[in-house]
Amino acid sequence: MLEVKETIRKEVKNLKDYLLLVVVDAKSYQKTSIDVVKALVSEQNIPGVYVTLNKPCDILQRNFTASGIDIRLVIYIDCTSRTEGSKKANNCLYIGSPEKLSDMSIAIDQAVKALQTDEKFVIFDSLNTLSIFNKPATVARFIHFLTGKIREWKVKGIIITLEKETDPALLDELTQFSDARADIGGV
Amino acid sequence: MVHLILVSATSVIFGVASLFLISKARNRLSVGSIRRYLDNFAICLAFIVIFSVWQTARTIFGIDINVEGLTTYPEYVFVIFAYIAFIIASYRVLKISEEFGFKEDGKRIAQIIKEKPLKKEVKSKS
Repeated sequence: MLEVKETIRKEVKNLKDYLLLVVVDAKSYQKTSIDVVKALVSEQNIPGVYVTLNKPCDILQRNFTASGIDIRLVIYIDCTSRTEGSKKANNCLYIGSPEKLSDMSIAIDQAVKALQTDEKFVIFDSLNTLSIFNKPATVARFIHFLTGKIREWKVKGIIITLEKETDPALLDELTQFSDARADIGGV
Repeated sequence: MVHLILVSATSVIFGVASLFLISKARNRLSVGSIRRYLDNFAICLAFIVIFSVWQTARTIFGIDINVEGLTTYPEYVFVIFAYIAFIIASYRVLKISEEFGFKEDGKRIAQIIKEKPLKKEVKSKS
């Protein structure tokens, strides 16, 4: 099994924009999500957008800081913290719920377009959590929308998911769309 | 008279068509700020459509609906309501722009990137 950094290095490093699907097991999830950001922010100095459905923004920032990642280079879209309506603080937009897909889409679009650098990334963490809160058809439509947008924005798109928790048909389809797939851990 | 009826009827048709389009758009959106904004916008439009319907009915049928204290043009109350709803909708757009606007964050990040040397460059220099 390749490490995520190795996959980025081998498969997509030379591509300006790509779509990478990171399929991970639960044990390796924490390390993988940090490694992905580290590979982009710390090693390549690329800013980007991190959409989190698993950990609140402050926990994520704390973990990134502990791993030596410059958290100022990332715009966070927090869909997990329950807030009344959307609110913004410290580079982070709190959407309020993973069910607010319209707000999530507009927030990602605005954040990506606000980044003025040539290279930028979008990390979506994670697809399986999105499936907990939304109907399968809605998730499929949202992921199709997101992958289409990632191509349109010409960014480095990374979608993280736990294999066991993801619908195999959706995973197969997503693999087909992606430029590379990294299977991390015991997957 | 015919022209007036034509203009009034056209306004009503456009207004109803707009409401139909908004309702269609609303159904596609999930709960959140954007959908709430659409609700506000629909209310503004609804008041204007009611105003137009009232005026058209008055023109076509020559009916005068007199409300106590508002004998001349009671339909203008709906225009006032529409403007109040417009203020609320505009305020909501302002809030949405505060939440979803990342322009300043983007500028700040670009500045940090400019000032920050690449890790590889630092290594090669040392």
